[in-house]
Amino acid sequence: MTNAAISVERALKRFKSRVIIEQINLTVPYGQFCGIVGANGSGKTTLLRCIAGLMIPNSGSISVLGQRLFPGPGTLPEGVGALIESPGFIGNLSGTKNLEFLLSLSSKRTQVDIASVLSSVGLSPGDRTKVRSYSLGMTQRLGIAQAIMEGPRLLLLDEPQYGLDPDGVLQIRNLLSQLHAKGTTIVMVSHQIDEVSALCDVVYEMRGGHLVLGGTSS
Amino acid sequence: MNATLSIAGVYLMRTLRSWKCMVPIGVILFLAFVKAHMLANLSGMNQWDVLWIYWNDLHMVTLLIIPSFLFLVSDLHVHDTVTGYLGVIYPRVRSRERLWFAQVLALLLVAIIYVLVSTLLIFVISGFFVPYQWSWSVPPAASQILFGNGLGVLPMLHSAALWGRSPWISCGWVWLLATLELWSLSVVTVTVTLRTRHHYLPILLAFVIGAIGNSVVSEVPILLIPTSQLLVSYHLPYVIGYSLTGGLHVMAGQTTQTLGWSVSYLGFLLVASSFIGRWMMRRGDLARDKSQKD
Repeated sequence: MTNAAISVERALKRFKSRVIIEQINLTVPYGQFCGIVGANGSGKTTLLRCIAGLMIPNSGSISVLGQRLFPGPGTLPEGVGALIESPGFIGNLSGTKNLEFLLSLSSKRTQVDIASVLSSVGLSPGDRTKVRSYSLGMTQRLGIAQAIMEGPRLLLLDEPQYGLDPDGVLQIRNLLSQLHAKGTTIVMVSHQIDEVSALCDVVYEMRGGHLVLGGTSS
Repeated sequence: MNATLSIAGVYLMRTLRSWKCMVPIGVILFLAFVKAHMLANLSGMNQWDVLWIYWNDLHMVTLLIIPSFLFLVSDLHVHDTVTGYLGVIYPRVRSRERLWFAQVLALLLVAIIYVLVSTLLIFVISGFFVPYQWSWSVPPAASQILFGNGLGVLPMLHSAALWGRSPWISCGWVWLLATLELWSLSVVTVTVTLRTRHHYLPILLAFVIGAIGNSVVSEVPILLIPTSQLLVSYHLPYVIGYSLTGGLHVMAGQTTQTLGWSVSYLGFLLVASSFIGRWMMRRGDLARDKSQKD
């Protein structure tokens, strides 16, 4: 156990004989905005999935918010919000209904103002359009909304700006800055190094399954 | 526990909201309509007879209900693992154990609703064609020719007399076994789906398991069953009816024993697939990498 929001030690993940991430060590202190950049297929998303408990590393250990995930049953602590790659929603429901559905799953019963959350990501709260009719950008905005709506202590974001127009990118950048200022720990994965550099306290780079320190904002 | 029930409820709602759910029900409705119309031309039939025949002898329904049910179940879970929906719900569910338990619970609820709604539909529709009678009757020989396959209808309608119970008891057995069968096969399907993320393979496997299992239970050598009946044979009420014929292979006196075997078989299937599914859930990835070949 550590006091870090995320602690990854010698994590290795392979699919059959192909090694995706290898001997990854990563420590993210509470309140830090951590960026991970890298080329397509470098293992960024796989690492994020392991941290979110969705994928089980073949070896190594992962702790999140002081709770050991692996080795172990992969049970996540409360307070984690995640947007992993393209988020899946129920296509025949509106964005609001989808968020209501997801809220009903939480064991932590919090009062969430869904309308204001939708507004904060640039979606209209009164819009009854079904999600299957959403554009890529709208789906991505809804994905960000579901990740932040319960006020997570740790936010895991995989390419949050994917599919967004320039205004949307700016809006989400401001939103993430506000969340960071409030003390939310954020890990953002992206292949857009400019975006990551502009927001993050520290930037790592994934190269061929290995994680190397790219730099800090200071 | 409340959180688990919420998750199960969401799974249930999502399943029922799927349009595919309407396909088998629509087919049932249509076939029920046709069948009830035909039954209306026969004397001495009532809704219970129609219901009994429907569950036991309407092969088209049997062939459509279970595959479509399993497809529905499989589709939802393939969707969840492939599209990233699990990535959205897992931070809220937080536990693989809870996720699995909720899925199994939701499958039970879906199976119950599936069986009851189907039954209700056929029963209500048949009421438009034949007057309601709350007692059993024996259909004329003509109905055997019309609906029978040489094995079952008339003896099955006699089953109430054989058991000496009310129609509710007999239908209760059918409902129980049909629900148990749908539940256990759907758990098998989801278990395989978790590993393969494939639409049809889990269903095929459930078919094979169901066919072999029921053939063993009904003590009929599997290779002797014609292909068309191989699929039907795993429809448990049919097997029970078959055993109730007291004729070719299974003596009527063995009814209770056969029922016991059927319940034991389905119970074993359910428990085994639940444990294997739980084990796979604990050990398997809930997301799929594009480069990953399962």
